[in-house]
Amino acid sequence: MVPSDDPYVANGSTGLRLDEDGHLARAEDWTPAIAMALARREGLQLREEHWTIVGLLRAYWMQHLTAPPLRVLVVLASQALGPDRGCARNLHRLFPKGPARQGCRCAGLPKPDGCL
Amino acid sequence: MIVRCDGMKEQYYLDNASTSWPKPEAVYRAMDETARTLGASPGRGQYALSFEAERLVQETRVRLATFFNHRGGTERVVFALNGTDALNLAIFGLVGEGDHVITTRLEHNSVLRPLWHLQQAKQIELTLVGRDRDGYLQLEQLRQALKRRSKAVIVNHASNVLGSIQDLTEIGALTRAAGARLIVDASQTAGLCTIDMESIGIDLLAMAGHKGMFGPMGIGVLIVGRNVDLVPFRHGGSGVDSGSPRQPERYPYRLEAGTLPLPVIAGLNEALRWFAKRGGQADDVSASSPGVDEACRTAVQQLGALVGRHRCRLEEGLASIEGVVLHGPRAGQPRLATISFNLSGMSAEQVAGMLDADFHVCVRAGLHCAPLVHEDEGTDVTYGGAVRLSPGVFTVDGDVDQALQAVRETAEAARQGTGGTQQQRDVRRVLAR
Repeated sequence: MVPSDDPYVANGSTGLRLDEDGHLARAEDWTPAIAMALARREGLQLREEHWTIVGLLRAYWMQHLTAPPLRVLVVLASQALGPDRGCARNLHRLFPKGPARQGCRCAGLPKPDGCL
Repeated sequence: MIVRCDGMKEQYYLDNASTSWPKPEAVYRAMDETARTLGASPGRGQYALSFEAERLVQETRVRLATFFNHRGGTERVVFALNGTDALNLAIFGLVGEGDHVITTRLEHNSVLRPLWHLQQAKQIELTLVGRDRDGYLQLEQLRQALKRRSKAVIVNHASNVLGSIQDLTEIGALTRAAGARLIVDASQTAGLCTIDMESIGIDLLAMAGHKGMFGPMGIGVLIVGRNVDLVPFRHGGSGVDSGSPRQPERYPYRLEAGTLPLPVIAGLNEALRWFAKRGGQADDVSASSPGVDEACRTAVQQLGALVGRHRCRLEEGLASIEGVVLHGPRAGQPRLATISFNLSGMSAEQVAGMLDADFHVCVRAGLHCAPLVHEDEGTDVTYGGAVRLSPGVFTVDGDVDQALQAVRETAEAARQGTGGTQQQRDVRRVLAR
């Protein structure tokens, strides 16, 4: 279910602390309302499938304290959305700036590691 | 967590420029056997097992000296942790206060960062030589940069991004004429290109052992030419001259401190034997037997040709895909099998993620620890780097087919994200009139 919007967040008066890459400074501060505010910064409107991915990212991060590699996220997304919707190409449509980075930003998680 | 999907292999590994994988089966066996049966510290104990461990280390030094035609003494074949570590030994051991050092905009951070560190500490003057569009050094710039007090020219034999192979003979001649030392980073080429230290006049040859040399990770090699001496970079136990407060003067102890990673060296030694066997050398001959050098050269040429065939197929296939932007040398120039590209409308990181997640194709994306190459190529800002495909000796045609299909489908996804295929855009344009 898509959470309802929070006018307090929508006003932009959240006082959210973000790091230099636009990720929430403290993952534990995250709420669904904050996710919507963060998504708006990205030009996204979160729909059902977005919330599924955000939920998967947060669940994985809470267990492993790291973001899943895209290949693992795709496996989890395939189980949740079905193989057609759970592929990386669809996740890219949901999060055009990258399912890992943009998805993590919406999920209130730190920037994923990787040697770039 | 690796998941097998129907009809796909678990991995289509095309990241051999990072590390070659898999290794020859004999390398795994040698490491396992050494760890189980030769568990003594080489050269440290007064018992047969330790002597045998030391013999294995010395045999590997002999094989490496033969492989690269180093005639300055096998004791000058020094083991390091990896290619970066070998280059640190060379740079910090050779360069001193007030020296002028020349390197190139094609270098890996393993060269750039130590030199930038020395430059920022105001220890050295640094000149960076540029390259042409295809990735070849501007030799005229090098000629002009060389000064009377130039201490060293540090150059990578081949770019780890573009695959362009430099003309070491020409660079060596220019460097020698100026009285400077030539340090070569052969991390990308060792094992895939013939490197003859004597004929080229290389003073210091540094490399990783786990790439084209087919050794395991955890080993690098620095070969110190006969007329060069380095200041010790690290200090500690050597197993010799233990009463002295200083690091021994003699090689290899001058540059090696602490226990050597014997199982890793055993793996590299076996990889070197594998080369010799592939080149026609009988299995039971010793490391110093006549003909080993020729056998190794033959094997290197064969392996270089083998991966070159994959590169041709990849290059042709990629060039036919709409939206692909290829980087590096044009056809017919000396190059490795490494190919870097971008897809219009998608960051390098996203492309690599999709290739892995949806197609199990393993590639390296980003700046490849060579930021100046991407700066010159313009890929750093536009794409966050590039996507690099590097087939290896154990790559099969099916891996190349899968990679090309994966790029084709990912390019299609990228086009949909930027307005569809060219054909779709053309149709829309016509309808809009």
